[in-house]
Amino acid sequence: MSALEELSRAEEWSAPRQTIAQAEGLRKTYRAHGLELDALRDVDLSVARGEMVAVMGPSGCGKTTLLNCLAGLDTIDAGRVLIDSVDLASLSDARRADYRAQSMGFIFQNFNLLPVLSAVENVELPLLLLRVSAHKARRRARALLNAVGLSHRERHRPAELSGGQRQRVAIARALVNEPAIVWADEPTGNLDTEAAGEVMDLLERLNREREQTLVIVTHAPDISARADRLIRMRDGRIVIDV
Amino acid sequence: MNPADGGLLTFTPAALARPLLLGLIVAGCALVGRGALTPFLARIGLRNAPRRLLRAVLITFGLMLATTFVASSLAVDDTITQAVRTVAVFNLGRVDEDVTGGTGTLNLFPQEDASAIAYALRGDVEVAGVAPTLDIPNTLVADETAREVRGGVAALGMQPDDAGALGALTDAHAPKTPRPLQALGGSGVYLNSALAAALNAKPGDTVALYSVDWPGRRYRFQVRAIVKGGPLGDAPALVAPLHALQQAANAFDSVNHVYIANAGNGLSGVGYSDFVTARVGENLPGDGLAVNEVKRNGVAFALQAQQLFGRILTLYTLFAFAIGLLLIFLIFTLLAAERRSELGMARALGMRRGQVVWMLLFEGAAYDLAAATIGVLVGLGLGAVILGVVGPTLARIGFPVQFALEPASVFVAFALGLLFTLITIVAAAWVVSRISIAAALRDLPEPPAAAPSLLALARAALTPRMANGRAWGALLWALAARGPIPLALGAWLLRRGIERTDALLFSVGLSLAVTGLTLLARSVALGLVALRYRREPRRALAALARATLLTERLAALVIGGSLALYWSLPFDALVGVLGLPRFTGGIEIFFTAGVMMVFGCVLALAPNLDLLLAPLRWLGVRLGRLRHISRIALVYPSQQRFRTGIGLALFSLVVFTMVVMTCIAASTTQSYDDLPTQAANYDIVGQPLFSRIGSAQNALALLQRHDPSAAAQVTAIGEATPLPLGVLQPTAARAMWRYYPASALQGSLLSGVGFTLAARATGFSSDEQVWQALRQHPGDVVIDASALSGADASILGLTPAPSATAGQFTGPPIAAGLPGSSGFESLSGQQAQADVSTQLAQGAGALNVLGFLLTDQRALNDLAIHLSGIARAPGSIVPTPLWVADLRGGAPQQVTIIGIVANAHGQNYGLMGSPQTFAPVEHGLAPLGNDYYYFKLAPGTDPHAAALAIGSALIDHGFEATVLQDALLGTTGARVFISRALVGLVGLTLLVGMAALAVTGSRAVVERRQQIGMLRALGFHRAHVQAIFLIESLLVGAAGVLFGLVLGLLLCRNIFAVDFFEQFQSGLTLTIPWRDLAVICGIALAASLLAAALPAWQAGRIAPADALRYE
Repeated sequence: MSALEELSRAEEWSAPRQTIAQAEGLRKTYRAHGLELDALRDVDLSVARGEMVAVMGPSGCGKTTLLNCLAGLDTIDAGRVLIDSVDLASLSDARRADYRAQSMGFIFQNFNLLPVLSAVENVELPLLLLRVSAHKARRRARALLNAVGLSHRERHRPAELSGGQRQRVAIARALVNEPAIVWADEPTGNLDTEAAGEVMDLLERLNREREQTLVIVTHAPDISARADRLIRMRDGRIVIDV
Repeated sequence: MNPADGGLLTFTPAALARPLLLGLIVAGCALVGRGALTPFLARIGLRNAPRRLLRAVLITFGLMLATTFVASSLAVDDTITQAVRTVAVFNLGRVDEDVTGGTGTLNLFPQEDASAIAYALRGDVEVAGVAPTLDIPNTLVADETAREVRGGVAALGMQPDDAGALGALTDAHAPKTPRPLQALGGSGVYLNSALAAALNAKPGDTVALYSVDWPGRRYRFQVRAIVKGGPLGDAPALVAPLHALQQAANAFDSVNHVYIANAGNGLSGVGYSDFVTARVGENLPGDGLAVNEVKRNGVAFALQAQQLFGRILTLYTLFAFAIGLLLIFLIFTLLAAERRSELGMARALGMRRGQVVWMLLFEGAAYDLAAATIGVLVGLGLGAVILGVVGPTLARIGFPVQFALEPASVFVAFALGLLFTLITIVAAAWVVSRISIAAALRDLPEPPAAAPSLLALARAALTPRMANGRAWGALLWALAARGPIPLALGAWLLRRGIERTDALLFSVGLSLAVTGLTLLARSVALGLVALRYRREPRRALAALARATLLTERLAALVIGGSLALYWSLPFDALVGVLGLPRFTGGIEIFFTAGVMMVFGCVLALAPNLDLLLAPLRWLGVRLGRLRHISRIALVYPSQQRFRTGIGLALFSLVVFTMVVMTCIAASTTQSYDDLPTQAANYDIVGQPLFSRIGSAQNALALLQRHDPSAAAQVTAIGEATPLPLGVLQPTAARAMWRYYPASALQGSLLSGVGFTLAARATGFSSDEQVWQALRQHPGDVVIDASALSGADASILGLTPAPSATAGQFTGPPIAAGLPGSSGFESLSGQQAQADVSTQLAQGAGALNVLGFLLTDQRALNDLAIHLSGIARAPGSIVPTPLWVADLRGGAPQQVTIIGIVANAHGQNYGLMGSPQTFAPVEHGLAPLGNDYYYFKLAPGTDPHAAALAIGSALIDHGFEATVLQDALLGTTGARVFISRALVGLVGLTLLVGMAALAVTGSRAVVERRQQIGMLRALGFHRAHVQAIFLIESLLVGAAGVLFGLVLGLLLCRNIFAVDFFEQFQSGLTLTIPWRDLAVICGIALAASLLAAALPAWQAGRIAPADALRYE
């Protein structure tokens, strides 16, 4: 059974359509040298399709850990995570990688673009991982770059772009595979006010116009103000969900 | 341990070429195919390669080293193989087959039989020439014009017609000028170059031939030309008309050889040997005649001498390859660490782990291709340089060193480098791709891996689900990491090793079993801790963490320590323990031992580095203003244990290889190449072949009378007369008659010139007193250190010398048994040696051993005397009585040993005393053989000119003078060459090893550029940053030097302790060149500092902000 077939079958088991991400009793403990730190303590959370969720809280409260666990980038100690009704923990490492390529997009504070690839090549990479033909991938990547206002910079490498431009390339890359959900970890953390505003405008527009589900980890109150829903965390627990 | 030939690693480049070609095709197809399927992976990989020029250069250089090592080794090996083959050809001329088997002392058969063979082969295209020949061996030739004599000359009588290639003689000085046999007429001879040089002969000279085959007569000939080609090799020989020699030897119409030359050149003709031998066999006319494949046998015999070098070279190549591969692994580990967040992002985007490996592999392949190509060229260049440096020094003995390279070797070097680098890159990529994505994205340390119980893992593996394969993998890994698998595998290998008496299987099995047991004990201990705290989960975690840390340290210490200890033991250490058999093993056991010792030490120490560095840290915090430097410098190596461990292993292995190779090279140099020592600092050896001179004083007086200028150049003359003595030590536990070389000394030899005393008897306060006693007190003797038992040699602190050979038993004490220096058989014919043996045996009664001794080296060793209870303390012996008797009869006589002559490298053999000491035992017996005269010349004197002058001055006695170093080189030329090539390889190891360390040091700094920026931002001065890296590098360097030196010396001791090289009759003894080793260690330390200093200096110059932004 191929990965995609497997994933399609998984979708058949799906829970109600409106819930795209669901966490139940999520626990994550970091252990080192006899010390243990509960990064997540019995977190329950569900994110509906098309929702824009902001996760806030003080440093070390478990925001990024929550995002990593929800996205399958990190392992969990207890509970379960369903993304589009698929239990990520039940997938092998390779299947999980395929699932991320197909259904998720990522935006990080440090942009994390591959420095040896041009803007368009960075954007098309997730499609190529999904074995989309090179021609189609390039066309789609260009369209995305155009959508984020960077069609004139498609051949430039990350080192030749400004911080805001890099983040817009990262956004285009996150959206190129039409993901079910986009995870953004401090997407404006490395940007100046103007660039941050532009990026947030773009994300907000995507959410509004395309009903793109977004989960954004942030420290910035103005970003949270733009979200449909605000989750506040403290000591590994969700303390406010409004 | 018994050395085993034909071990795992005896392969030839030609045999390797096919599987390597297959491997290259598979690897190439895999890369191209994968590149076509996922071009984006290839694109990322290939674009990463030239991302930073300096890094790309460093990586390519590092990867290049393995290929360079292999290419240079193969180039040197090919050249030596070719040279050794050519020497065999050179020695045998164009003769490929030889028909012999006649009757009488000269083994004659009718000339018409020889003609019948020549007729039968006439039409064969595989045959280039047939020459019926009368070969009179051991003639004595006197050049009456030049006034020189030479014994041991082969006189070849050939007839002018129809010899084909064997009659194609050319002028030695004008190779295009033919010298036909017809031109000899009835009274002419041709001399080959070796004979002409020894006689100082020129065309037109008159030479007289003497032989035991025409006693009391001499035949005069005129030298027509100095020639080469035909049947002439490099041994002194002349060609005379057949009928003239037949007449002289009274062998009318008879010959004793039919020489046959095959088609092709001297070397390629060997390929027809089977066919020609069969053809000759079909046409042998008489009973008793047989055909011998002399060239093929000669080449095979010559190549045997090269096997020693082949084994050493294999050992060197393996270590060098291990260094190269470790370096490649380290380079890629560092590279991947630098790109960790990129790899994390790629994985987050959906790239599979396998795809990450491919991505890194594409990048590695780009470096690899460039590195293998450059590496082959550099390696061949270095090989040529080594040979270019050592070759000319050997030209004077006619050792033909010409750079030779088989195409298969070039391909093998390229393919081996390429494939092994690729495989190492795959392994490194697989290891580094195992990342936690979340941690990699934020460049955080890898979180500790979860350790579920074996039960849980087994349950998961047996549960049908999608990730079942992974669960099985996890279970197998846990079984390996927790002990059961290595224990079971070790037990199986142990059993197999004992059954097959295979040292490697046994040792690897034992190592695995110890590892498995230790890991199992660790798991049990952790299980007990968990059990103890099962009701207190909170405390259990902390207790388990502490126990894990402690058991990790202990397990590494026990496993690493055991491996280092076991593999550093002599390989016979366990023989007899628990009924274990005597194992066999090849060169691979030494390679494995080296790697395991280094690995064991590093494994034992790397996890405990923080503890080991604690004293330095304690010292560091007391350094006042510089404590911040020492703190940072000492914390990084103990935190980054994996990388520090690999760096330390690499450094240790480089120094280790250099130490091993330096010791082996020093041993070969000392044994083969220290010609002045082997000649006891004398320059010329000579012997009167016509009549005795009587004494060294007489020889000097004659020289002064006939050639005062030659006499003025002589600073010392000694004389030695070999005596056939039996010896008995009455104080020995089981005293019985034994045998040992003995000589009566005169002149400078009796004053000890050329000898070094290793020990003196009590009562003698100086060496001079010992020699004075030898001169003045008949009955006092000295003996060389080889006569000591092992226990006595050990008390005196002496290295055991190689056993005496037959030549030494019948020859003088210095440089005995050399070709070019005629033995007593030169006058009495080939059969004479056996005749003398018979004569000796008949007269010797119970000591009827000599005839046997002369042919059997093992019997020689067994029956030679081994003095016991003679040594007191280092440098001191008790005066020891010894009974001596001539083997031919006569009265025994007691003598007293008052000194031990050093003989560490087998250059001085014998029981030595004054003529007065031995006069009673020789009373009434005829002298045996010749007297030998040793001349020491004034510094700056040309020994060749002096030898000719001395020979000419003493011509009335038929004095044959030979330059000692030429004679020594003639015997050991191939090994001298090997020795010098090894020294060259040591130089190469040093050079390339330093380069490897430089690459490692540079990469360590480049990788931490951001850290440098951070430190600079915090306020660290540029000099502080540089000091941090220098201290770190010095730490790793010092530890590596220490490990490499100690372990290298241990391995050398073990190799020589089991006499591994003795299977090649090498006569090698271990020499430790302390001064060279000190230089190597110093250079290695300096290299580690320099390697870190340059990039640290560069990094220190970069603005902190730039360094922090570095991607």
